Amino acid sequence: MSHFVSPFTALNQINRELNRVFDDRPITGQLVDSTIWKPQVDICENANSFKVIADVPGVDPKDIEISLHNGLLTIRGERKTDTEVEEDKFSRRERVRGTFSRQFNLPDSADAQTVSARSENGVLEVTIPKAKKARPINIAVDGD
Amino acid sequence: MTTLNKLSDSVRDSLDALAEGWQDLWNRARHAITRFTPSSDDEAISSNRWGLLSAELHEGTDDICVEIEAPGLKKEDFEIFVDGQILVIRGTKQSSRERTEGHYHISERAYGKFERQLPLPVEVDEASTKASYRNGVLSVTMPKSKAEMPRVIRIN
Repeated sequence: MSHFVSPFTALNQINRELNRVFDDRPITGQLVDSTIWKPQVDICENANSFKVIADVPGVDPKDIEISLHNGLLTIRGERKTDTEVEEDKFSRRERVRGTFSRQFNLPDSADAQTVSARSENGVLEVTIPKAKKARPINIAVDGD
Repeated sequence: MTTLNKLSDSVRDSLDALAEGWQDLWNRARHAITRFTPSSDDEAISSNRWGLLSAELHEGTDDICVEIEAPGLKKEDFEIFVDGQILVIRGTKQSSRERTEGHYHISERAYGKFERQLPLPVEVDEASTKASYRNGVLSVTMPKSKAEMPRVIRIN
């Protein structure tokens, strides 16, 4: 796919600059260089964990790489060509193949030690529990 | 050449590259942009109304094969049929929201009902159509109808 110029590479640069200026959101997503396509994601936070859900159709679970370092969650992967078919046999070709990569800044309360992930039906779900000290504790009030 | 000129040239070049990249992506994906109709109020408030259902159509000697990226569904969430020379794919992407209570920081995924129609290059035998679903990609294989097959004429 070398002929395919990804606008994400150029956008990433602009995005980084803008993030630097407007860095006031608790969680910011950013694209990474060499990205050819971008999965759509949801990021949900509840009392005990963060959940990152990404649509990655056509990506084999074994081609997905996840890392969390200094609060920066990186999801990387590749959509490979599954069938060897000659280009000229296609009368419609909308699918984009190649690498994707997205990064998200997670708050300090994310616990890097116990991240878990599963992928099913083209949907990747990454669960990052919150560190114990960051979870809300209910304190009972004693009274007469 | 002054520094300012160099700078303005490089900015113009990168904007051209960006425009070209978008044009390429747009040409590839514009037909894949599909409207999703949320099936509950909860989905309607927060989710994206537009999703990308990228398709591919490949014509073999005996059959037509269509692949379409539709992540997050179950087999039974699809309805597939051929109407004349059009393949119709309907589906419902169920929201995961009921089981993930909480506050959403980013919400880009689309949920709900969708329909995509793909014109087929030849007539197909609808009764012998086969479909499979793997890693969020639906594959539909339709044998060409007898009338469309090349006829081999034997010489006696």
